[in-house]
Amino acid sequence: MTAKTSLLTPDARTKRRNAAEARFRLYGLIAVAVAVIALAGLLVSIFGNGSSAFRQTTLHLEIPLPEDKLDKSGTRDLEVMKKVTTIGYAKVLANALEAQLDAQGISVEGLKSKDISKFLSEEAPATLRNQVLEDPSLVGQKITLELLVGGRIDGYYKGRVTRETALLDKNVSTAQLDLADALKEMGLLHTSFNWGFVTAPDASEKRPEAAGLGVAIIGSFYMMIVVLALALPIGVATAVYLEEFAPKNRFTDIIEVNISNLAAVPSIVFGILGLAAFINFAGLPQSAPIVGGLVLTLMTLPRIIIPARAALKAVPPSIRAAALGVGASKMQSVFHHVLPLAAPGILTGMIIGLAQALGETAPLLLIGMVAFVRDYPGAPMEGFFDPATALPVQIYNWTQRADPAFVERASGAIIVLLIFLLAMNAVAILLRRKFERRW
Amino acid sequence: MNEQHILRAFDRDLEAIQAMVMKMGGMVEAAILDAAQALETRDEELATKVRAGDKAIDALEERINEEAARLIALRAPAASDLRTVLSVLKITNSLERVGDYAKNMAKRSNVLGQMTAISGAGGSLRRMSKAVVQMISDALDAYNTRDAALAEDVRNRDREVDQMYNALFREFLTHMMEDPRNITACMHLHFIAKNIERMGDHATTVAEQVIYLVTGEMPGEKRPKADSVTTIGVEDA
Amino acid sequence: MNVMRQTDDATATAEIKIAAKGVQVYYGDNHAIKDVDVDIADRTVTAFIGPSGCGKSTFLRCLNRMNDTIDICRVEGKITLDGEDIYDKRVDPVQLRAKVGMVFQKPNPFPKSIYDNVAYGPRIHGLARGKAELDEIVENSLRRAALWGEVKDRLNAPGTGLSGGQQQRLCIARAVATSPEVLLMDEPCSALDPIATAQVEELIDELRSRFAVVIVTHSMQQAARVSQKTAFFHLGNLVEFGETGQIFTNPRDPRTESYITGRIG
Repeated sequence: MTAKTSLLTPDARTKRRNAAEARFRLYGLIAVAVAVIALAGLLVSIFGNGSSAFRQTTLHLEIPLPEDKLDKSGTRDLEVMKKVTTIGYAKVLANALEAQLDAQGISVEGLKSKDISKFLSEEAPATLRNQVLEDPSLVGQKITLELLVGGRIDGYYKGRVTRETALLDKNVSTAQLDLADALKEMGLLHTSFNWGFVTAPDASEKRPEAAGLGVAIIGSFYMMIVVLALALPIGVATAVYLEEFAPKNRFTDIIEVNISNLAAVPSIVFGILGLAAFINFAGLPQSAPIVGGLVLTLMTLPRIIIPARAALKAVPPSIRAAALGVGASKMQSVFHHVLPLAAPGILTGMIIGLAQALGETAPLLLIGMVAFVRDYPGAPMEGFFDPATALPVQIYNWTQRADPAFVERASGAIIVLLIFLLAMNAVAILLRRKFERRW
Repeated sequence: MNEQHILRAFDRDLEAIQAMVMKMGGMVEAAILDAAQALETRDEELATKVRAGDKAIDALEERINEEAARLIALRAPAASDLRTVLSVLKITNSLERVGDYAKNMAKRSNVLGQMTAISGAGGSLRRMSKAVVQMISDALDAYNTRDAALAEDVRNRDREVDQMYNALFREFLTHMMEDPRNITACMHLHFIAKNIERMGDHATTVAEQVIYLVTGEMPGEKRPKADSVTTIGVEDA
Repeated sequence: MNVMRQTDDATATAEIKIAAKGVQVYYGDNHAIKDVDVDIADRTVTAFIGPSGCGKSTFLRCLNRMNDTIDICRVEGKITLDGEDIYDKRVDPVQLRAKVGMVFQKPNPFPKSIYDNVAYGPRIHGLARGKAELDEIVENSLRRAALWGEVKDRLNAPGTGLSGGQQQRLCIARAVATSPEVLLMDEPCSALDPIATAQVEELIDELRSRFAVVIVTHSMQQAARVSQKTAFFHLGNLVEFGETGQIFTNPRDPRTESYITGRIG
């Protein structure tokens, strides 16, 4: 070596090395910052657009139910009463509102009777009609109801509709907005948590204020049950067999390669397979959660098998040797020792697979789950065969619609979906914590 | 075993301790020869030197014992290494005894210097000493070269020393019978002869250690014995 | 020393528990064990020593057919336990392994309670008819493994929470619990500190009164300390097999000599 160097002064090489390390850390921080900003932007945009979907403006209205209009025969015969359509009930509602305005002494300049009848949602007469048909004895009495107001009036309270946009919009007039303000002052119009959004079925394009996720949530839930019931046993059994029992030969090699490849197959391909196999060949009904569940099961299986095998592989061989050493059979060693140790890993993989399935849209479009479904599917088991829709498909559907109120609904639905996914991931983390490796 | 240990420090330790044994052997051989010469030439100065030299031999024995203990503790020798260390201990012990005999011989030669000489005794004892020194030297050579055949030869040569001792025994007996005034000197001379004979036995022990070291087994009790003095009185009487 | 001498003499008359004749083991194309003949005596500790990869562990694993779990492993020759060929087609290796217990290099207790670790073998073999009987087996096994005093107050604590030496003794208790006739130990002390090693060695010496013990070890000193018979393996051959004292003071084969004196060989 040459001259003696001091440890107290870093040499040029050390300085270069330290500078390179500092640069590398900086790049890392920048990358993390970009990711965080992107995520924050996404969340802000979704929550900004969507959080208002969870609030809904309703009108507190006293409605006299005139017998001459709703049951001319006076017999309270349902068949007869059903002949009165929602148009008839709409008139009842309009009259009730006008009467209330008169009674409260509210007069709004330039308010036409058409504005009054359009003030309420198109869903409101249907709500009233259902109520009356359910209990015909109400006819002739006075009832009070919280009724949905029109989408534009709702939007006015959520900041989506302003007086400027109202001037350009032929679906709403400034007079209606004045009326809304007046009603608000009286305490008749108020905004509250929107339970209908998570329980109600989808609604037509004309009445976004009534559209809800009820059917989609049930549909998604049914599909997850199907996926769980099929993919967990099949996936775990496959993984255990391949990892613990299968001989290592060309045949199992091919199977292994194919499982890895299947995990990478685009999900829409599974949709086509489902359409061909389950609907065209097996003759299962379209739009049914059972078909969706089967398709998602196919898609999820490789994504469960791969982490399950990894979890099994991570169990130290010494545990297997120990079990065999005390005279356990191969199967006893797997089921008594290896599988319990691999369980947290397997369950975590399972839940992540389920979460992916929950968010999958493309294959469901192909098997007809994109249909407009207003009827709740029945209870299991028949319910699995009833038409339903799914959360991601519902989101896709709503983003296609013209009314800007549906943008809000779609964002709201995304929030619901994200909450489900977060909940599932939280469960995965909890499971992993609870069964932390103990060897 | 000509291969080296993987841990070469072990080899160095073993070599060092064996070199000390060789050195000790050389010192003992010199002491015997000097003592025999002092006896024959009545050289009191040389005899005193031999007596003083025994301290160095004892000190060396001490050192070898310590080294051997250290080696056993630190290197945990096994098989031939273990046998090497064990034989080092035994050989050292024998050499130390031989050294003591040489010292005793020198002591007695100082006493004998004050008396009338017994003719021929000094020469005979010196020949006997030379034979024993040759045995010790050959035994140590056999040790050095791991030569079991040479060691066996040394073992057999003990018979000659025994015979020399027998001859001297009778000779001293004759001297004492002829003239009782010779008894004191002859008793001393007899003890010297006996000591030299014992030296031969120790040389045999060394040779046996060599055989144990090389073959792993102690030679059987078939050692040739010619020490018949125990019966001399009986047959004469 | 005298006691030792006596027990050594006793081994000479002990009956043969396991006899191996002309055993060959192949891993694929690799000829791992070449024509090995060994007689394992009952109530004796037999040590297998040799450099890494010499086949000593492989051979040990032949004795309870642990090699069966490796696809490419092939065993030829004859190994008998009490005169019965353990590689006979009618022999179920699971049944064999209950008779020939095994303790591994790394302590590998199941991630279960201490009690369950020991009770596992008796449970799967149906050795206990009730809870009380099982409790007794567990206690006896832990006592035999010299662990009872240390764990009797925390039988429900996880076995993995014990110290390394305790874990290994737990594994020995687990192996002992199935009442085996032979105990195979594959470098049982290689992961332990000297004190724990000494405890396990003492335990092995105790176990000798009931079982035939076969121990594979990298430590020649350990083989010397615990065994009565020693077999030296080299490159898949059984080079020398004999009484331990003889192997360590006066081996017959130069390869054994080179190995135990730490020479390149």
